[in-house]
Amino acid sequence: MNRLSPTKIFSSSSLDIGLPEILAAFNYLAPQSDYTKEKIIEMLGFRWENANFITSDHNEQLSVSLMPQIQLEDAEQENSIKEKSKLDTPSTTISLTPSNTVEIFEVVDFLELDLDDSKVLSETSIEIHFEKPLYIPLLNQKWFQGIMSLMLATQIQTRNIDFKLIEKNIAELLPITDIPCLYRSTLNRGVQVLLDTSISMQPFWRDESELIKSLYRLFGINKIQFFEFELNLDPIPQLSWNEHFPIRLQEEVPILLVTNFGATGNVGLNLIRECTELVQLIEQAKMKKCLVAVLIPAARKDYPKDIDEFIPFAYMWDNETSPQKVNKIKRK
Amino acid sequence: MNKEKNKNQLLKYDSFLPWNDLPSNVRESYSPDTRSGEVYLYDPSLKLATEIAIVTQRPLLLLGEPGAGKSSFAPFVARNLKWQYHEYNVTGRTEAKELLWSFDALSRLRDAQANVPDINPKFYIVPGVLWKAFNYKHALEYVKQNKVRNSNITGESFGLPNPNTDRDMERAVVLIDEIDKADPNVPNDLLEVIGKNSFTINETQDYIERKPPLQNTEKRANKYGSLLIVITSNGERDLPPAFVRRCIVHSLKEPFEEDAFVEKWKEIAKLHTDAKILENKQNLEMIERLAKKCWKLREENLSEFRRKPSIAEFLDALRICFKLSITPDSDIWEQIERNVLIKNEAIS
Repeated sequence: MNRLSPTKIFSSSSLDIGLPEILAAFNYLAPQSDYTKEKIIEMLGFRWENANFITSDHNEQLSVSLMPQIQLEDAEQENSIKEKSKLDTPSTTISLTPSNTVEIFEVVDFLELDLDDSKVLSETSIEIHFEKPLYIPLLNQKWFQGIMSLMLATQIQTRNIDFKLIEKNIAELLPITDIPCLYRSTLNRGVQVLLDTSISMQPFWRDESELIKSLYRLFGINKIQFFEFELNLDPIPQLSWNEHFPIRLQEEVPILLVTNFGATGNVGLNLIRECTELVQLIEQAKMKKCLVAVLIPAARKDYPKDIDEFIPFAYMWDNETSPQKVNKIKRK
Repeated sequence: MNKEKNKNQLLKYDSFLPWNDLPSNVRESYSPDTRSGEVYLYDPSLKLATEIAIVTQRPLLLLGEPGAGKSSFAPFVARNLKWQYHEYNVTGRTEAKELLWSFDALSRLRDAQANVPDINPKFYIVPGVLWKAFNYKHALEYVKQNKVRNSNITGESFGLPNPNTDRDMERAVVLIDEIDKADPNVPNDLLEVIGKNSFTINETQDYIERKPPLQNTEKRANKYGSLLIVITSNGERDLPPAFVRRCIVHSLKEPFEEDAFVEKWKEIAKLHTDAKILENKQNLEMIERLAKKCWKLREENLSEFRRKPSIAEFLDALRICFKLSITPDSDIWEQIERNVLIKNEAIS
């Protein structure tokens, strides 16, 4: 069998693993069993289905039917595909038999309903699907990393010198007392998540749980701390922690506050400011140089009035929130 | 795929990766995690994944719990293939650029202030691991021609291997260790470089590209490839899907059944233990007992969500037991378990 070199096989400029890699692996490794072929295909990130092999006197030709494996970024799609496949199989079927039909006529008589009983109801069946509702995260998962990177990234000094600043100082005859370095964004400081679990947030409890899971995947388990609290503004504004220990915020670690401020709507900033625990929390965050971002599960028009004055970075917890919109708010 | 049906199936293909451990009389007796590549327990599927990575010119992404042996694999492959070996340990501050080159701006600024006549930026460029792997000769010539001023920077300081060894200077294995520690954008920033095997140095606009070496028909491995990039991750955070999609992914997992687990860990222990020690039957029994103890601890810790002892900790405990003549029956065993295997007291 002719053996091609990898450089001859790879003419595709695509960065993704695809047919050239499959051909190279099969050409060079010459798998001698279906099991080995399957393993090679799997390692390349595909799934082996209904493979047919055509051989000839001169060389072996390979014909495979391949399905790309649904991998990490398509986890949502994978879940939705799994859910859809459940829908295809009826879970409960109720069929109307002639005897049932008679019973229904009796009910009709009893209720004195005016129906034309000369028509015979043909046998029918009703398939009732008990559908598990698909969970759709409030934030678009495709943008999740981008959104969180913009919302919660902090600046970290790099080892690269900021020559522009030096040049500027020299040009303006300003002294250079220390060497300025460039900064870059990082998520490595982690995040402190404060979750509002009050009754007004009940419709979003699951979303909060899923948000935490997504944050774990993005930041890593060791980089997240989360605390639960209940914020009620009626009758007396108060915030009570669900934790049994005092909350200590870490310095310079961004805070993600997830709350609807007692169901937003007509809530004004004055009322929120009456909640001393919340005000103290924000003050403490400022003292510890923690960036505070708040996710509000409501339309912008329903935000508490002037909330930007209290917490500048307030974002809509909705799938319309995109990295561009987050960036716009940050730049204000 | 029916996993039960395929459990005992063997992989049959034209393998080219040599898998030779160093004899015990040549290697160090006790040396924790030297990454010398002296020994590595044979794993057919890992071998296959590596060979696929070499022939397809894709990075090999190794996943697994800490201490599973991810980082030890790359030097082992390099030693067996007689290719150069370079490693980079990723930290939370790592930027993708650091794997390509670094620019010693401070030295240049210092030289500028000292009125050194020629402060061409080229003199202050230090090749990174991928540059050395792509084109070792070019990296070495760059350093020599440009006469890097910093006295610490010499050819050897760059990690460029001594050309007098038996390693093939045109072929390389690169280990990028614990990439999940870096910011999420770092793996994505590396994609294009690894895919195109080229990059441009910002400060000098020099274009660096991988130069495929001349085919060496003496060895099959050299005919098929010349660069293997091994990237490891502890799974502390998810890696970007676009990055994972472009790698050959292999997970190092421990057997689910006790017998297979104990057998595997015994074999690993024997590989890492001096032959003279293994001549003693009691020591062999000790190895088995310790392996069984680790199995039990892993099962217990699994249910209690605590840290499970890994192979690395097992080997550490074994060395201590041999050195200090301790067994699981000894009074001091509980402390060994706590401080070496489970490390409970270190975790609040």
